[in-house]
Amino acid sequence: MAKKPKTAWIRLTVQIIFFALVALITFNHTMSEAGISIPFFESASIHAICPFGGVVSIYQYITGGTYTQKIHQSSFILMYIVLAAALLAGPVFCGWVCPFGSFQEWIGKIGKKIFRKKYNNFIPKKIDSILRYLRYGVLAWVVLMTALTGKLIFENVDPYAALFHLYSSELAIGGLIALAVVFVLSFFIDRPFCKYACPYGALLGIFNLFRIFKIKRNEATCISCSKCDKECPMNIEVSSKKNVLDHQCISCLKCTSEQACPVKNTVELMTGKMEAKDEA
Amino acid sequence: MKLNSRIIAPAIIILFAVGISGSIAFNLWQTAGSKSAADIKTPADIKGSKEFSIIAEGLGIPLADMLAAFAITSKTDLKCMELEKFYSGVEGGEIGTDSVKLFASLYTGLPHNPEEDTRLPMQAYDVLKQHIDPVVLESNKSRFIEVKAAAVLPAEPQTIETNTASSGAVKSESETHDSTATDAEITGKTTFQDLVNRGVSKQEIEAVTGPISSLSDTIKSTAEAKGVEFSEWKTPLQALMNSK
Repeated sequence: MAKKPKTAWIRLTVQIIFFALVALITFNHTMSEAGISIPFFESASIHAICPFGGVVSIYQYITGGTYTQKIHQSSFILMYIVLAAALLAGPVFCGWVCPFGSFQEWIGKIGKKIFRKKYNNFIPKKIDSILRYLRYGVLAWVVLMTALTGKLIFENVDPYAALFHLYSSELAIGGLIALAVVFVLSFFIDRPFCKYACPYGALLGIFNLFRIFKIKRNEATCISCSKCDKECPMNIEVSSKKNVLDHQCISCLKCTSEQACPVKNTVELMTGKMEAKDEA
Repeated sequence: MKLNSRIIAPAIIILFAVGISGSIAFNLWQTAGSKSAADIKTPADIKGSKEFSIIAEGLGIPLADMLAAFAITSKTDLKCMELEKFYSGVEGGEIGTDSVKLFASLYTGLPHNPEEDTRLPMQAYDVLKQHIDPVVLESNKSRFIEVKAAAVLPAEPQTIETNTASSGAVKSESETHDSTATDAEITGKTTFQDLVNRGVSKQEIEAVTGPISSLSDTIKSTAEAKGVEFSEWKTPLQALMNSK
């Protein structure tokens, strides 16, 4: 059995922190509506602390100076923070922060134990590669419909909102169904919603083309063991690339020499060229 | 330059912490709509999350008239979005947030273009005919529909007398349910306006709390803002309310 990378706990800790924060903030919001709340702790709706809310509200903000229903200034601030991080190191929000991505990943750990090597490899590559662009259609639909209606159109089918509304009267049936589908699929596929349907992941994925810090592979030292490919939750063939520009990369660092890659200084998240000493 | 987990993890936390605390420092961090009546200047400012009391104060419409217009006899205040739930069984249109906008527009004369299927209960007609030009009211008559409010509104232990000049269109709670008028309890959501609606005067409230800036503020938040324990105010105010 492969030894667990020594730094895997770091990302897991960050994921747990953000998941717990979002869960507590939204729970506090529901409780405060009933007249009880945790003192000195933030209370906000799931929409108010979702950076994607800022994206869907941009049109209304520019044309009317107002926010889309249920969206507030906090969403815009979070959007700026996440975009700044994406410009630097790609969709680190997806890989490190997003509670819904973490949720799928944690369910996937069970799936991995059940299906072992077959896990995350159920869908034929040809079909999979086409399906990967589906999320851009979702992004276009959400942005367009929100601009046209002025309402948070995605809310009714949003599995992320549903996850944090399970105990709330705001739970939408469409969202609950979507959540159930994602829950089941997560046993077979790593991060199915992120791969095929997440509109925010689609937007952040574009940053992989021009982010400052990129995943780079040192061809000179690579031993072609393909461990990076096997570890990638998004099924990216890192071993065939010099620079990973794939729009699906979530900057989780699983492929790097810090974790999956057995050779030092061979797969790294870095800026600039691989130095001569790295090539050795 | 390389990034690894030991750099990214603290960097992400610092980025979020600095971004959020910085925006709080510059008063930019807002996770909810304003609760201030001062922000309601036109019917367009009315949102589903706004309480009737805030809208009433902002647009200068008596709260009792608003409650009567929507046949609300079982609550002292409610959010506009709750109307959709209460009137979910109504045929011939929709009674919801846009209905409140329409009512406010007709009452105040401020402009608003309602959705095609927006409707008002006939009780609103009775309220409006006391206050607005009959010609305007007649031109909007198709907007009003008969609804059996008592059948669709949930009964709650809280009660109020609506005291409007709505010609008896809305029955008081004592007429429709067994009265539990003294049972209503002050909670974290109770506003000063709720007390006024129950017959407690502003002077009586201020004798307990000191000067209050807005009736639409909740008692709890005002107490907290003044550094007073909520329970210190709750007990005497509850006694005042029960005595009415």
